[in-house]
Amino acid sequence: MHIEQPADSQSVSDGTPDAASSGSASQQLDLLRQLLCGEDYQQMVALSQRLTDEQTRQEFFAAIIAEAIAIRNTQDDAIAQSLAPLISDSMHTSIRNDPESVSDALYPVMGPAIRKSITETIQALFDSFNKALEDSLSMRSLGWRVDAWRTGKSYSEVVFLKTLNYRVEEVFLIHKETGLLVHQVAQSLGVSKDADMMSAMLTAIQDFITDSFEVDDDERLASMKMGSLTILLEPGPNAVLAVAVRGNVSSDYRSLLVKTQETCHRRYARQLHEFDGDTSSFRGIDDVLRVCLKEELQKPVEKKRKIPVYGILGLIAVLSGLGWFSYTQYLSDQAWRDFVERLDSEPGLLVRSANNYERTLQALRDPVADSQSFIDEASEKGYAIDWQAYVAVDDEILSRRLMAHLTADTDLEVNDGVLFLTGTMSLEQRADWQRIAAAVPGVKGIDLGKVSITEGEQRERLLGQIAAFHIVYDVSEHVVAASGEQAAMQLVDTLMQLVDSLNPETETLRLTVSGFSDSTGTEQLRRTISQQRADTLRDFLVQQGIPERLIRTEVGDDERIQDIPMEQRRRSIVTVEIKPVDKLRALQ
Amino acid sequence: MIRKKVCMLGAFSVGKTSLISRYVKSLFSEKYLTTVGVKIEKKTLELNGETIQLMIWDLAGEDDFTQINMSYLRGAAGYILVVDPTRPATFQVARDVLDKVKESNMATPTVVALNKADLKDDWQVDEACLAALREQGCETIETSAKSGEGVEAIFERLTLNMMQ
Ligand SMILES: Nc1nc2c(ncn2[C@@H]2O[C@H](COP(=O)(O)OP(=O)(O)O)[C@@H](O)[C@H]2O)c(=O)[nH]1
Ligand SMILES: [Mg+2]
Repeated sequence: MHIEQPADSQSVSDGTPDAASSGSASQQLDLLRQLLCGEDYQQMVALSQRLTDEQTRQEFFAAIIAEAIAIRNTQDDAIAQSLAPLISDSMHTSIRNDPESVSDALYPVMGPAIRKSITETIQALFDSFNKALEDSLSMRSLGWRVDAWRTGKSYSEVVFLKTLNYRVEEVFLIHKETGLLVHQVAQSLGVSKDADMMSAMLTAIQDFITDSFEVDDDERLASMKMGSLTILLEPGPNAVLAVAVRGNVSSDYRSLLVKTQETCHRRYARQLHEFDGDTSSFRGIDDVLRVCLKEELQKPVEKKRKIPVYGILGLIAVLSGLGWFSYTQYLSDQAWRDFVERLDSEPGLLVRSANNYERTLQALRDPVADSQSFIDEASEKGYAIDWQAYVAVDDEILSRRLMAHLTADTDLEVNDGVLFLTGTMSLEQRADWQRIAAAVPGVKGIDLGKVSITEGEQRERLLGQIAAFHIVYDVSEHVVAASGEQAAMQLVDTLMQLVDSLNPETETLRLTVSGFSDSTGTEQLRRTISQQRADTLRDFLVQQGIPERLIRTEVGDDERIQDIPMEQRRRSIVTVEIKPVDKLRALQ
Repeated sequence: MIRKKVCMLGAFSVGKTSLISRYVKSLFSEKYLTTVGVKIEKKTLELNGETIQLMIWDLAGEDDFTQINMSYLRGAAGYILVVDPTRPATFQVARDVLDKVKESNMATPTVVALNKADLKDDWQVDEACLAALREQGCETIETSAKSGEGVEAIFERLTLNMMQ
């Protein structure tokens, strides 16, 4: 209201100069007013001038306008309503005229907010994409093979590329305005031939697209794809972050790019803004960009565990095949080893060397050894044996070698190289064996203790023993002393053996016991004592069971014991005769 | 390492592409670059002990320079404005182009190439236009893409100007 007041008075005073200039009548009126109003009139004129002068008016309002708006704003929203379309219009104009400055200003604020909402959207997208991918997994490896064949790459290379979700090969920071490369980092083997050219061309392409299609400046290219390589572009106010990627980056990665881009613009704001081609002022940029050189392996996809029937069957087939093979191999090995072992343990055969793979062996063979069965077996089983002759001295072979000399009723055994003979053989035969044993190598000794002699020889031996028998008496004595009794017992034993050897049908015995005496005493006395000596021995023999009818006693003829010293001639001896039975019968 | 973007300007067929070819060893195939409409070449040179890398932009094809797309010029640190004095009309084109360019980048160093110096007998220099170009602060150097005369010199001159 009180703003309007001066406006009214302005319209009044507006007319005043016109009226004054119109003639003297108005001058007079003016004078009248001065007279009537005095000083008030002067002030009124001054006030009127202030209101008319534009500058003064502006100053007047400037002093109070902010407060005035504030006061009015507390009363109603008229100001907001009238200003809103105005501001909106002016903002549009402003943004249209200079979009970059607005977006530059908003960039740090908007970045994070937009990122959040985009992340969520992309995540949803990825979930569905992952599912599609999983469905195609069964065909995956087949596809890789086809890919490998198609591209001429090795299968493993294709698998490597495919099992990576993505790998960022190179990162470029490109100055937006000039298209010049600010900095570049690469994996050990970068993909671009020339990062400078790449940067310039990327920028040119961007320009080309922006020019060719009517797109806004903020709708610039976000990615380019060529084969397995994708160039992702993350534009900022003064620089474009470009990465060359193989595969599909995750949504995380996009936000990493945005963050990196923001970092670049925050840290190198001045350098980017005033960039004149000098890249040396971007200290530490390498580390900033290197963060983007990422690669991500594919997560192993959880597959439903199907029972791999064919796999198991195949495995069984392979295993049983393998088992059968190794089993037969084992058997054949066993047979071979067994063969070699048997051959080696066979007397007279000796394995020198055996080749288990070629199934060949070198063996020594004694001529008397039994090698034929081995030769047959070897030819049957395909073994090869190289024989060499040798003389074996083991007991078995020795006995086999000596066997050739055996006669009927005899046998032999070799034990530790000693030849044991059994059976009955003549003395001559025994002598032969002695020679053989000495001649055959390996025979260490001979034992004939168990060899019985022939009947004739046996009888002769008995007769010899009987002939050698005598009992010596003390002077004038005819009783058999203890020592004599022992000899007499031995004689009985020998006589019994002799009786046993007789053929009772045709043969019989006749014993003569002869008594002797020394030269002392008279002839009569000598005869008596000699007879007594013969009689006592006869009695002893009868006592021992020799039939009395077979025994005759006599005084021995001195002639028979001429060689014996006189003091030993006090003796009695036994003479035995074997007579034919008829003759005996005839005698009886 | 200092990198600079340089743009070739001038009427069609004045020898812009020929000058670059003479100056650098081409890397990218012509065909690929024409698709995008621009040809970029790289040249590294040593000047006053500093290594400078020039990224030289050239418009592919025979564009009408009066309708030049300004995005192509964006960020350029220097221009080589090529004139073919055997065709006096190209002087006027050069003037127009320069006017347009200077609208946005007043101080960008520009060197004018009076090309086809090997055909000097056929030259018909538009002296008025030439004076106008010099007035705008452009140096002029006579070049021949054919003989190689002045080619190194003009790029070095421009580089020196850009480095100041
Ligand atoms: N004689 C001569 N011919 C030239 C020279 N430079 C370019 N030309 C020729 O001029 C024609 C156009 O050249 P070009 O480089 O394509 O010009 P642009 O359109 O400006 O790129 C071609 O036939 C070139 O052989 C030069 O220095 N001397
Ligand atoms: Mg050309």
